[in-house]
Amino acid sequence: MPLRYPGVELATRIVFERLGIRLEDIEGASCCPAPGVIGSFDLKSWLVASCRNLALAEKMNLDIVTCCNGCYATLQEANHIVKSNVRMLEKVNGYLNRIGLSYNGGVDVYHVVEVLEDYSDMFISDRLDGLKIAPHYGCHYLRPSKIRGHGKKAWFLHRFISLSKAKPVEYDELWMCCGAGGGVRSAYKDLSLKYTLRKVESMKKAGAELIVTPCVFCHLQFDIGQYELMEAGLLGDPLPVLHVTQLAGLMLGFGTEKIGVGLNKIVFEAGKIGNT
Amino acid sequence: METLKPKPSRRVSSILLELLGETGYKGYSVCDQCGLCLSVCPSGFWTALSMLRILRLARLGSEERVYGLDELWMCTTCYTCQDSCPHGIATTDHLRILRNLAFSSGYALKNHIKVAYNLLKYGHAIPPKDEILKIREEIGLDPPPTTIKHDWALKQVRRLFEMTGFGKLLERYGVDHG
Repeated sequence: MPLRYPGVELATRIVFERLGIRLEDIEGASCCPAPGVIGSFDLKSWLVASCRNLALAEKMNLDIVTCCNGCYATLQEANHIVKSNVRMLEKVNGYLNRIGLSYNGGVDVYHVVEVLEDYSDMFISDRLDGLKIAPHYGCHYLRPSKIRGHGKKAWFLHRFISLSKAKPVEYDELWMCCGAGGGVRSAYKDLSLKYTLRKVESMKKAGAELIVTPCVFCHLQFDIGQYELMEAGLLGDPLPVLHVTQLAGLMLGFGTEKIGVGLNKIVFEAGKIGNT
Repeated sequence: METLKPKPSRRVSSILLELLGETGYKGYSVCDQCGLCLSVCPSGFWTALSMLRILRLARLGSEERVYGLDELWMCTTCYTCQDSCPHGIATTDHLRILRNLAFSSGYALKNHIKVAYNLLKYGHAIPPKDEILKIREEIGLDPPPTTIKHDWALKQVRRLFEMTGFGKLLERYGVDHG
């Protein structure tokens, strides 16, 4: 997020400030690292590097909240692995000790949507009345479900969107992947865009005016991906896309300039869409 | 990459067990080839990706035959098949382990080596672009206090990758992170 969509970071910080939650940055953090791509290269390095991030947070006495399904997947899963398997924790600490760190399983990892859910009351208004939004959950917040363990909380995006009287549209490809993950965007971009096109067409067919996602990487795939599809002549009109924290900003009444929407590639014009 | 000698591969299932432990997911030994993984795969709409075939080859001990398959890298790791498997098999996680073995055996794709290089060089899988750092400044955001700001942090990450052998592995692909 910080190196691709600073606008999403801006929105997240302003929304959290309004909710009265103080965010602290983890000094010296690295890439999570990405679960589908780095995890596909070397799971050992992936696990050790993600536990380094957890160890840094633990040292600062913090829990972690992320705005990206990928970061969430990595940190939640690494945490799950070492917390449920003492032998793995010892092995990981064997590496961390040699750089002067250790991890004791004292950090909880949250996705930003879990925090937004807890503060649902703050978002109730009729500010987005009538706006038709296509929710895109992204894969790694929900799956693998036995590790994520969200159960019925899985429908949070539908519930959240409805708080400000916007309408989540029902579209055929709701649960489909955006196409970017697992190293597919970097190695087989055309294939990744086939997913995106199929999803966007399905959303448009259902009457959506806007896409909302809780994942920065899905956000990128819909934002830049639609642009790439238009350039290739495969897509006519694109749908603007907002990260869920940007939507949260709109729901709280912030102007689009306050929530970094102008830094998205596909233009979102407030006032032209729904009642915003 | 003919010069690379495949590392003796550890059995996929033992790695899986070690990593996923008490999750309730199972290994491929309980697969009865029902094919549901294949039918729910979005990549499979357009590509030859078949989790059914990949797991069968791995189960037969023909892991090396999987390494060179183009479709091994056409999975977005959406976990739809893993969540759909009636036997609870950790299909996608099997695939990640097979990819690890392929990666360490010289079958990495060029663009993926670039991503790995970025991680080693910057501590981030994407390089910090001046353009983005400038935008951050304009909208009042400090530079991210990560490995791109703190040299001690980058050194720690590189040291970890040295210890896990990841740095060495990338050197074999001709990556010099300086």
